[in-house]
Amino acid sequence: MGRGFLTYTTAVILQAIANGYLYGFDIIDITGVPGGTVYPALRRLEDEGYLVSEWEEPSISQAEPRPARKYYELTREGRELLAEAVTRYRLLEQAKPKKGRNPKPSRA
Amino acid sequence: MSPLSRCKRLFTRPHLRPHLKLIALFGVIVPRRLRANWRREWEAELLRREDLLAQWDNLNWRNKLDLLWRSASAFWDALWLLPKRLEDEMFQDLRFGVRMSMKNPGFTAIAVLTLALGIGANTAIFSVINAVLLRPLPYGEADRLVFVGHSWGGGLPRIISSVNYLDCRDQNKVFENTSLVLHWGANLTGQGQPELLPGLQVSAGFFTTLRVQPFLGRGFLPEENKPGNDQVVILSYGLWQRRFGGDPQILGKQITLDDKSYSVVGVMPAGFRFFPDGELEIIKPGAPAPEMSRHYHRQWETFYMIARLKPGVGFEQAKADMKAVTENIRRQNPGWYPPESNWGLAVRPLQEYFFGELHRPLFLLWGAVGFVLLIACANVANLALARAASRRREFSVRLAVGANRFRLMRQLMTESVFLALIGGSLGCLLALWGISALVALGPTKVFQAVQVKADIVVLWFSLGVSLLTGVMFGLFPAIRYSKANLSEAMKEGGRAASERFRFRSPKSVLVIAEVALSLLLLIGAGLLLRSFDKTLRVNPGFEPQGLLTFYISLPEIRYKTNAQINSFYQQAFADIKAIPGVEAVGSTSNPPMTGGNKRNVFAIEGRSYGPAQTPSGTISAVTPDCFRTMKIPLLAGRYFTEQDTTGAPAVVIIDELFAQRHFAGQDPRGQRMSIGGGPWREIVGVVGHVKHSGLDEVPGDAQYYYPTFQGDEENGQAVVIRSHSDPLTLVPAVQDAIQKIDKDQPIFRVRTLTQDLKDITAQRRFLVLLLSIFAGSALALAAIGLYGVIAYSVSQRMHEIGIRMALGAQTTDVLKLIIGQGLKLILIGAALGLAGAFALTRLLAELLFDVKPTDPITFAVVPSLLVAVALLASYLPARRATKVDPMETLRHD
Repeated sequence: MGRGFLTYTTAVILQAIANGYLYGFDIIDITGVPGGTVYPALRRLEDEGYLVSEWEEPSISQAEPRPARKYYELTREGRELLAEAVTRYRLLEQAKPKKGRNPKPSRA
Repeated sequence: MSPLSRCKRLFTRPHLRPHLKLIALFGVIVPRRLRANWRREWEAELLRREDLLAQWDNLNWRNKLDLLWRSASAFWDALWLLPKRLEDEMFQDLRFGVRMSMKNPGFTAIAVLTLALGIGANTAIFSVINAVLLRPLPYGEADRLVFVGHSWGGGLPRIISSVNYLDCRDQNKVFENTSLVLHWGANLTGQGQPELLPGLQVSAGFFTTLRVQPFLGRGFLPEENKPGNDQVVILSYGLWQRRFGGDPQILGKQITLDDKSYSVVGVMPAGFRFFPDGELEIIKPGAPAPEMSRHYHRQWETFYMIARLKPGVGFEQAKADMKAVTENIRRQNPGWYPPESNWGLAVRPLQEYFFGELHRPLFLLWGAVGFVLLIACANVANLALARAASRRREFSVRLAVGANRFRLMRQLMTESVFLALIGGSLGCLLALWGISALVALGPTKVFQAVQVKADIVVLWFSLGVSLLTGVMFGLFPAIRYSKANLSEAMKEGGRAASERFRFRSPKSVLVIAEVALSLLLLIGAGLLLRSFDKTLRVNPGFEPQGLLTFYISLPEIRYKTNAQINSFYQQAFADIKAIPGVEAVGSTSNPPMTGGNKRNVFAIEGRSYGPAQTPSGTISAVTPDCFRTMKIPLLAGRYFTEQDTTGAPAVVIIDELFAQRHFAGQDPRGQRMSIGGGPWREIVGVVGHVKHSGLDEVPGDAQYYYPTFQGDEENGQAVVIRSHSDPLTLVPAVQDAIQKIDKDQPIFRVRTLTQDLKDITAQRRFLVLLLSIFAGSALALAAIGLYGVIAYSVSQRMHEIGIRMALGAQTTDVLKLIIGQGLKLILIGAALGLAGAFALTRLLAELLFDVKPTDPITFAVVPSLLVAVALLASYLPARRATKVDPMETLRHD
């Protein structure tokens, strides 16, 4: 799949993940992209190798008893893709995270 | 408890959370191996969100709806994963199916071959149907083209007269273009070997009506319709290549046709035809006009009229309009069409006019070949059942371990569809070969006109048939063996209790069906065969053996007077008679068995007829020796003699049908009649009736003959020569003789009358041939099927047979037992087949000549043949059963 699939929506999703919103529903919340678009995009990106997905550490999920969630991270290719996306969609640059938010859930 | 907290409770009870239910529902779509993780992911997200909302006491209706909405979007996620699932499972099934087929090469080979033959035959026949009946004619928007003509008593339209054409053209409201077509032919001279070229004379709208553009040059201009400007011609592509070497400068060249000079203005595209069964080499313009006095007559029918419907006009509308035009014409011409006349104008789609009569035989063939495929399927289904039975254990184990029944069924069906698709591809290849065989053996008239080839429609058909076949024969074992029947299958030596022969087992039902279907086919083929045989035995009214015939057409320019024509023919006959081997020579203007005919009205002196009640009959101008040459018997009076020529008293000879119909009980000799309003002629003789348009022509037309030089017929004659031996040996001598008299005079369509007879029966013969082949295959397949079932049952019952023989049963007892079993199947099948035949052969009635659809001989002979073959098929395995040593079978459990 060529670079043709780097739509604005995909770029926004990548940027959201880069900004620390690693869970599916969080991406939905922060980007405003509906779930029926976000999840297939996540799957596609993962298939192509731009993302990896992992289950939360059991320590986190067992703290408050709830099932473990899945989170997504950018790979190196993903970060490159994001850089390209930013040059294409200049406005994304402005979407920077506030400092100190949302530590990675793998580290408790 | 506050309503809010009650709702909260409702929502947090696990089995009442609709959003989770949705996830469970959509999860069914997700591939199995991904399903668990997928559900975890979604449920985790949803539960966390729900938790957070509950913690913040924000679990109101809006948020719950939002949760539901989010879980609904899981649908798209699941959908996205769906292709993976299909890929997974389908490929798995496919790989498994391929492996199983490899493991049983015998079964696979037989199944694939049987299916290939069945599907291939169906594809081949369907190609013919597609080319002849379904594919539109090769003209622009051919479904808008119609054929218009005279009809009597509301029948189908036939040839029309020029005057009625003009009236119809001027008075109709539904036609965009119309055109008149007339057969024409001319001698091409001045270019080497003279050749008589068949062609058409068309009115101005011909090319516009058909929406066909010439390949080179142009169509005809309106002014070229008038005599004086009409010496232009359009050549066919084949003629252009053959006689003019594909000369690119052909336009504007002058060629000599019938000693007149014509200018070439165009070349038709390759393969262009009008009448499907006629060659078309030259086309010239010409419209009916008062100057064409003989043709300009309301009752002289020699023209064909075609028309194109206006856009948006339906066929029913056209029919209604033709009724209106008919009324107009009748009102304006009460003399020609009094109230009691049943004349009318009728309209019919052009494609139907050309090919309509082929509907029934073609669909009959298709039905037959469909039956063969059904029988083949039944055989393969039986084989599949047997094989599935041997895998019973495997299935039971899988079901016990928790396999899904539908999955198992789907797997079995995948295997069978896979086999069917392979059989289908092989069948397509076979069909290609079959199509060329069909075209080579088939009636040339039909197959010359249409291109029968395997196009995309045919391939789709073939694919569809293969899939259907696969599903059909896969269904049986799939349903039967995917049921869990653990205890019986798991037993060691699970066949200890021998399988008793069950009548209602699917195997027996299939065989009974096969026997019934093949009996149906056999009876149909038998009926057609008898009918064909009867056709061939019909006395044609003359002696075709040893007759040679050819056409000759003297151009008007060089043969203007009767005297010139007379002298040519006299010289020609004398010279031909002198050739050694020639018994007699004659000529007629209307030879039989060529598919053409000439008719004209006549009147008997002393009787009055209204203009529309004028009787008409087949008219031929003959030389005196013609009767003797063709050996048409004389029943009363005399033949013509040399004295019956120009200037002598006008005479006429009628045939026996004429005498029966118009002179019943009287002696017609001495009575007088006039032909087409011409002078009175005396009837001097009565001859036997000649079958003119085919051996199965019923009822006959009244025929009458007049001497060639006592009327003004056209110059075209068919010369008939009787020879002692093979007529074709005379051809070079005859050609020499004619050339010596006039070197520019070609002879045309040299053939023997036996050949003409063969051509006329060609279609019927082809049908009979094909149907016999199909019926034979059906019988063979049914016999094989029966053999298979009996053999299988015997092998299952070896144990029982061993016991019986050990207890003292004789060979004959065993034989009786097994053959009795087969006999039951055969008799039931035969009974069903006979019942079906009684019901269905009515459909054949139109195709049968002189044979009733319930012909007792056929209905007696054919089933006996079937039963005999079937008994043989059951005898063979029975015999093998008796040869076995009982001790062996008892030991081998």
